[in-house]
Amino acid sequence: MSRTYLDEKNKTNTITRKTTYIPLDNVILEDDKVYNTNLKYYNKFSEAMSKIGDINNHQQALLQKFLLDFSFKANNSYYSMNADSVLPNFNISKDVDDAIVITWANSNYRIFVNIEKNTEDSFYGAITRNEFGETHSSSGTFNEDNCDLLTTKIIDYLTQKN
Amino acid sequence: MEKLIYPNEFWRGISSKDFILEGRVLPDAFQFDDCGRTDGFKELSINWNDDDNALDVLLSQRKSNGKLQFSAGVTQLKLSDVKQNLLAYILRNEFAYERRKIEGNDYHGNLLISEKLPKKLRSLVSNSLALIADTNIIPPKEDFI
Repeated sequence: MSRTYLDEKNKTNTITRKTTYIPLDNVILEDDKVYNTNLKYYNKFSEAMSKIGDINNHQQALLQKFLLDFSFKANNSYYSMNADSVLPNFNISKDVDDAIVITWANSNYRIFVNIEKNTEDSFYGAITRNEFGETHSSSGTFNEDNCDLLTTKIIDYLTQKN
Repeated sequence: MEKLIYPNEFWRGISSKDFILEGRVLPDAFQFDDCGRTDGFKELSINWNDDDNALDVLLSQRKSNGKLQFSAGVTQLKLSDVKQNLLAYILRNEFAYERRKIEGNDYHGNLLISEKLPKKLRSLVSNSLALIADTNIIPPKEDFI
């Protein structure tokens, strides 16, 4: 079992093109500024993923979709809120079943996405705590069809709570 | 039959710094054993905080190579918080806890989760425990070996 830990101190403002996981040259964006900012969160994902090791093609395909979708929407959040640090750090690890687990952690939530070896078994979940200390949990399946909705929901939640 | 008495706090060892993100405990620190027991539960080891020695015993635990078992420290949770947050699982007999002394550690016990519970729900339980623990981390003793 291998795990990675992203240190916020290692975050750089210089964004370099990466060809890991996705043919980014094929992604058409409006200008360089958009292109660069867009890559900020993606590169953090990519950096974490490079430490994870091998995953199967189905996992990789679903992960790519999630990462790109998330990164594009993160880009919009950066612009609308004018703050690069509005989205919190995250952890990517591989669990005992070789599932890729992405986790966001704060004093009031733990949000996670599991991309299982059999991607049809993939899921997401959230434990949230309100100002009265009451917790609420939710979970569901994660697949290509609900990837767009899920990334939107996660980013909306993260940007509201940070 | 003697009724077991539980203190309101227990400790969970953190074996890797990878289980902590920016000072917060991750669900990776609360992964139940792969294999289930004959009673259908999977275990997660804890130390009941019966007295001040319970923490020392946990922090002093070493692996066979002499290194500290819990190199990232330990985290403390309140049983009342766990019961409040996981009440639905407890009522359905999907989550429980126990005392189970082991050699050299009278404080040892387990959190228990039903092996029948789908992985998605087991992950929610692990994440709940991580949220309860959050930043409540005691650093490890210095390792002189």
